[in-house]
Amino acid sequence: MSQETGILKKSLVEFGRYAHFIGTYFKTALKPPYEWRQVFRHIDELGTYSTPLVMVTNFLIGAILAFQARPTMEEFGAAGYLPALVTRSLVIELSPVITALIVAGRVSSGIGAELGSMKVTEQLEAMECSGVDPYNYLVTTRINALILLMPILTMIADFVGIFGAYVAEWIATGATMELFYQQVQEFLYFWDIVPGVFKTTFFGFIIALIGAYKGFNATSGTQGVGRATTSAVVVASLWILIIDLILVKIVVDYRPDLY
Amino acid sequence: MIVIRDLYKAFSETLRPLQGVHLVAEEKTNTVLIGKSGSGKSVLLKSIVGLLEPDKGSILVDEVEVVDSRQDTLQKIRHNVGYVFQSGALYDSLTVGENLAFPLEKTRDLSRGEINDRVAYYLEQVGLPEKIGRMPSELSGGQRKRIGVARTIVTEPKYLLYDEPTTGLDPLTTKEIAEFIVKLRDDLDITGIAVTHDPYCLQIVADTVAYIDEGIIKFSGHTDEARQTADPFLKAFFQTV
Repeated sequence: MSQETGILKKSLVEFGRYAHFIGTYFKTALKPPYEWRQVFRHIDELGTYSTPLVMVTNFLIGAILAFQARPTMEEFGAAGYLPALVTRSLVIELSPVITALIVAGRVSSGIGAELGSMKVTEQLEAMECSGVDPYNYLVTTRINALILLMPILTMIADFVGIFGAYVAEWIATGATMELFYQQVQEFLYFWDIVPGVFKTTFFGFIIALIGAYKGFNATSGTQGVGRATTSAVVVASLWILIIDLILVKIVVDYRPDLY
Repeated sequence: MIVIRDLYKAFSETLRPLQGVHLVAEEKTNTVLIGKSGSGKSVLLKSIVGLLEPDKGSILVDEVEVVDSRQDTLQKIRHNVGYVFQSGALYDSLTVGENLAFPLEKTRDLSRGEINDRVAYYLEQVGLPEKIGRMPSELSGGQRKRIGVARTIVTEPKYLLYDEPTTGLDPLTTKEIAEFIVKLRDDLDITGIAVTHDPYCLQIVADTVAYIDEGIIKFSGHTDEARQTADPFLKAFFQTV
C-alpha cells in the first residue's frame, strides 16, 4: 500500500469514527435516561471554571479594540461612531469566537484529560459492566451542558466586552457611561446579538464532542492522555473557526439583513 | 453455569488471542485461568461480560447467549455477572460510598435508605467500613482492590470475574484478597472465574484450573489434577508455590 493510500484509509477510518460518535450522541440524547442532574452539574462546574477567564479576556479585547480603533476613527472624523463599531464587532463576531476558543482551551482539554484518564484506568469499562452507558452518562451530558452554557457565557462576554470598550473610552476621552451607551444603543439592534449568541450552541457542541472523542479514544498510558488533551484543544479550535465560517456564509447569503 | 464453546477472537492477522476456547465454569466454584502474558486470558474474561465481541463461538451464562446479543440482553446478563478490574477501576471523582452507590442508583430500583444500607453492609463485608467518605486516591492498592470487589458485589451478582485480583500486592494482602474470594463463594454462593499469574492466589482460590495457551484451553480440571500433569508450564507454575 502506498503512503498516500495509507493516509487516505486512515483519514476515512477517522471520519467514520467521528460520524459514529456524533450518531451515538443523537441516539442517546433522544432517548432516556436523560441524566439532567449530570447536565446541570456540568453547567455549574464548567461555567464556574470558564466564566472568570471569559470575562477577563473579553474585557481586555473590548478595551484593546477601542484603544486601537480610536486613532483611525479620529483620522476619518468618525470618532463618534467608535462605540458602535467596537460593540458591533464584539457582539457579532469577536465575543462568540473568542469565548468559544477560551472554552475550547479550558474545557475541551479538561474533558479530553478526564475521559482519557477514565479510559486508561478502565473506569469506562467498569461503568459499562455495571449497566450504565458511559457515552450517555459522560459524553451526552457534557455536550448538552455546553450547548446550554455557551450562549449564556457569550452574553456575559458581550456585556463585559462592551464595558471594557467603555473603560477604554473613559480613559481616552473621559466619556460618560450615559453617552457611551446612548451611542451603542443607536447602532446595536436585537438581531445583531441573536446570530452571534445562537451560533455558540454549535461551538458548544463541537468543543464537548471533540474533547470527549479524544478522551474516549485515548491510547494506554499517561502519554496517550497527554496527546488526547493537546489534540482536543487544537482540533476543537480549528473546528470552531470552520463552523464560524460556514455559519457566517449561510447568514450572509440567506439573511443579509441581519448584518 | 457459564459455558464457553469454540470461541474465536482476532484483532489482526497476527494477533489471534482466542482460537477455539472451550471452558465450563460450574456453579458455586472458583475457576482460575492461568497462562502466559498475551495468551488471551483477559480477552476471554472481557468477552464473557460483553466488553469484547468474539468473532465466532458461544458464551452461555445461565443458558443465555452473550455473543451477538442485543444491548438489552447484555444488560440483563450484566445484572448477574460482575467484573473486578485489575486496578479496581474506581471512579476518581466519587467517594468510596458514592462508588458503591453508583451502580445501585443507576440500575436498581431502590430507595435512598436501602442503597445506604447496602453500601454500609458491603463495605463491612470487605472490612473497610471506615473508608466510606474517602476518595479513591487516598486508598492503598489492596484497599482499592477490596473496594473494587465491594462495588461489584453490591449489586449482588451470581458470577464474578476477577482480572488479576492480587497483582502488585504484598503477600499478606494477597492472602487476604484470595481468602475473600473463597469467602464470597462460600457465604454468597458466588461463582468465580479469576485470571491470575500468582501461584499463591491460585492455591487458595482455585477449585478448578484452566490453562490457556496459544488461544486454546490446554488443560482444564481439578487443582490436584493440574499438579500431576506433565505440561512444562503447569509444572513450572506449581513448583513456584
